[in-house]
Amino acid sequence: MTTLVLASVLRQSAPSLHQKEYDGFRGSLLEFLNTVSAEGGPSFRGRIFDGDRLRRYLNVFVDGTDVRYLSGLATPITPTSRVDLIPAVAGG
Amino acid sequence: MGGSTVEPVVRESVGSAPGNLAIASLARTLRCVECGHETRLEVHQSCPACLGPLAVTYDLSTLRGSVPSDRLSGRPRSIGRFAELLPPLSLPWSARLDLETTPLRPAPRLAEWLGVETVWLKDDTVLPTGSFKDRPASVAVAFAAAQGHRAVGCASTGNLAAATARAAVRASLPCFVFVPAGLPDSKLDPVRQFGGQIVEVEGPYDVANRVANLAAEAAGIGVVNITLRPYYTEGSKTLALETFEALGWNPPDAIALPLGSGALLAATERAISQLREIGWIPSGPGPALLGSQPDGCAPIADAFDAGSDEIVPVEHPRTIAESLAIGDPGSGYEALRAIRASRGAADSPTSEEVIAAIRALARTEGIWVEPAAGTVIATLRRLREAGTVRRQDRVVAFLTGAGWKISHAVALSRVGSAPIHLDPVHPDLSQLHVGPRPEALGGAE
Repeated sequence: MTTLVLASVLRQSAPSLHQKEYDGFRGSLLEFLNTVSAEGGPSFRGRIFDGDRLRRYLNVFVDGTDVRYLSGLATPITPTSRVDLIPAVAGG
Repeated sequence: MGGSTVEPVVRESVGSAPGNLAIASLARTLRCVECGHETRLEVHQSCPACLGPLAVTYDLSTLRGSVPSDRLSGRPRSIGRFAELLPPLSLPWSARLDLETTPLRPAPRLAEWLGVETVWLKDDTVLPTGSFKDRPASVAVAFAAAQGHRAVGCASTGNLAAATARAAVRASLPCFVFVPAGLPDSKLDPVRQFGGQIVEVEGPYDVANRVANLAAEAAGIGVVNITLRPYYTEGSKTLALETFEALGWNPPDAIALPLGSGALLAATERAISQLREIGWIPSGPGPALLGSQPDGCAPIADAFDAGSDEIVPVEHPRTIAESLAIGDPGSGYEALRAIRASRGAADSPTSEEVIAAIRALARTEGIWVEPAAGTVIATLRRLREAGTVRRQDRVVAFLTGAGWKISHAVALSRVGSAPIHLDPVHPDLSQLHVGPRPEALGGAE
């Protein structure tokens, strides 16, 4: 199962998506987030995307690694991946 | 400056604690620095609309035109002195967590080494856990306690861990600190002494930060630099507020300070902006904000150098300045904008330059700092050599951490101190060379 984990600020607009499991998903991160956004609606999509880019203040991790160190939106998502969406404004 | 003065509102006294005046905060809302969305003064990590950073807003109308010496007269020398410009921190938490004002030390011999005429050092090495992090930790833990949090914590490169653990003791709350595995004992021993729970996470700081982010929600921990971040960063404003007061509200030409997440620099810019708004410092240019990152982890300085608006994170920071080993700076964009708006600069000295700066500061002014503060001094030297800082400039450097906190970097800089071994029965005292009497120090403290 591909698992989606949402920080609380993102759960507010799409509570049913937190820790949702997707059976047999295989594709790019962009395709995965498009699938998720279609379920979450425009408000949820607006918190993830700024146009066709990920929002500057959103960090996306695939299996614990920031996708900026992988292949960004082209990062492969497999049926065992875990995808975390977490605000970037943290730490320091 | 002139105009009417407004006396502080004294609500109650709490005995002999430093912050024994309850002065009403003028904080009103949280506002997103990116999209302007406003929300109430509650626990929010980031903007509910765009995930951008939230900053506390204030209604400063009652302070506008006041005379600072009248306004501040009779208040304790502590961060609570500036309560109007801090989040609302109800008693008794604010009194339990108050911190005494730190010195602003003239540094004529360091100024000579740097090649500038006037340098002051804002010496936060004297704070209870040896770093400026006592300030934001105190404010955030006081806010958390007043909000009814049952536990607090932080993600830390070491300094904040000790500061949060100490503040948690003062607030009688359990504390969980998330740190990258492998930090030196000098950073973690204070946490152990304060009874904090250390949670080690394999990987660099940013990984510990992500895990703390998840734990904050799952375990209901008030993580000071994550879920309480808008209030936490306000505590860092007090460095600048104390500095300006010590200078008689006469701003310096430049303030040099370290860049980790960029939160300290962004907070310094907010303090300057608020002091301008109430008329305690003049409008107009300056001070220039000079940000310092080590060359092994310089995402903000690199963006500044490149003239870029994009900050490229550093996956594997490599630097002796562990407190600045933050590859993905949470307040990086705010800091970058503030540096440019102030006509300041950012720079990233090498480890060798940082070690040389630590040694120079120790041997000219008798203050031993950790590499983060050494990075600040090294940056000042580089910017002076480049002509960015002029000889006649009046410069303040924030010394944000004490040297005893980081043992292995100290080992790197250990020079010229091989011990002289003396026989206890027949000591050969001819080995001791005192040398000529040094010249008198004109103009020293």
